[in-house]
Amino acid sequence: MEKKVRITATERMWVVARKMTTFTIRDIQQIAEVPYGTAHYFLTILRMTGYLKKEARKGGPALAKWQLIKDTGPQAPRVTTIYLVKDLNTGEEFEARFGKGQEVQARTKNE
Amino acid sequence: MKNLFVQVRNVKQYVNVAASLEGRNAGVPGIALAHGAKGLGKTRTALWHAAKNGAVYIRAKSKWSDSWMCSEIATEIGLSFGARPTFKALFEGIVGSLKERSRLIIVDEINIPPTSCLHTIRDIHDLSDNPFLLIGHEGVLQRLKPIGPLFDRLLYIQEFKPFSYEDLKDFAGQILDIPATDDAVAKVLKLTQGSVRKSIVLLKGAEDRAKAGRAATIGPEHLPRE
Repeated sequence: MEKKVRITATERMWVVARKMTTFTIRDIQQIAEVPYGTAHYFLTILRMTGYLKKEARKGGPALAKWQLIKDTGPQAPRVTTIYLVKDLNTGEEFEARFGKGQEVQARTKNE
Repeated sequence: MKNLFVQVRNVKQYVNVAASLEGRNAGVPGIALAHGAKGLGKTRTALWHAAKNGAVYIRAKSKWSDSWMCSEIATEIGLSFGARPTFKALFEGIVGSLKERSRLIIVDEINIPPTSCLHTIRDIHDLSDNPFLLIGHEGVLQRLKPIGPLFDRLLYIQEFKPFSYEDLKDFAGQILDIPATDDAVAKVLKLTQGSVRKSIVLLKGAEDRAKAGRAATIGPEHLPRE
């Protein structure tokens, strides 16, 4: 048996989302052992990008039922944060990506 | 009520079984069975463990063919084949991959797939030496016993048991915001017969009532009548 690699929170949440037919944010929080905010952010981003659907329930967002509708495989999608900076003086646009290690990589959008 | 995954006795035993399977000596069979009644947290435990340790989790289907099962395993271990691969290609691909990188494969709902799939699991295990943890509900032992070659390879058989008084007290102590009295724990146990799912529902309701009444502890009066 090879040495175990560290499993990230995103990978744990992706496993749970793929394998449970329907789930709540609290299921993800509990089984993947992540804070509520992390689970909520992950599910919201995946919903916005068409991976998940959400069925609202009375009693607040914690009780809403979620379901994976685009299962593309075992590798967890990586969620990155991209900010767009537009310089109105020069007309240039820059993308700032906050990824692994929180480094900022600015580059012109059309590069 | 805190939203925690509590490692009760069943979970600790499951973790030990999985660790023993992965760390077993050469030549020792590497298939185990975890079984128990519905509502005792088997699937939740398996998912929690798989997500935490990078194990492969698949749920058996009643209409599984050998090829369908193998294509699911192949997908989960990161293998891709062209359109409509043969069973031979799938099988050999899986065995080859698992020989290179062994990883625990958890198959849930093992009661329901056709017997041929169980033989294929045994074949994959025998040829790759990869560990398998099968999960089933009531009746799975009777289902597997006649399949001698598979049943003989079961290194561990773990039964998920209902909560005992100590389990429930430990569980309640970890998830409740307000402590429950011993009498309340005993009453929950009596009302639920140790069902994990039912115990959570009762404890949640009792805690809500205790909070509404500004009580310092959860007592039997916060639970439904017997």
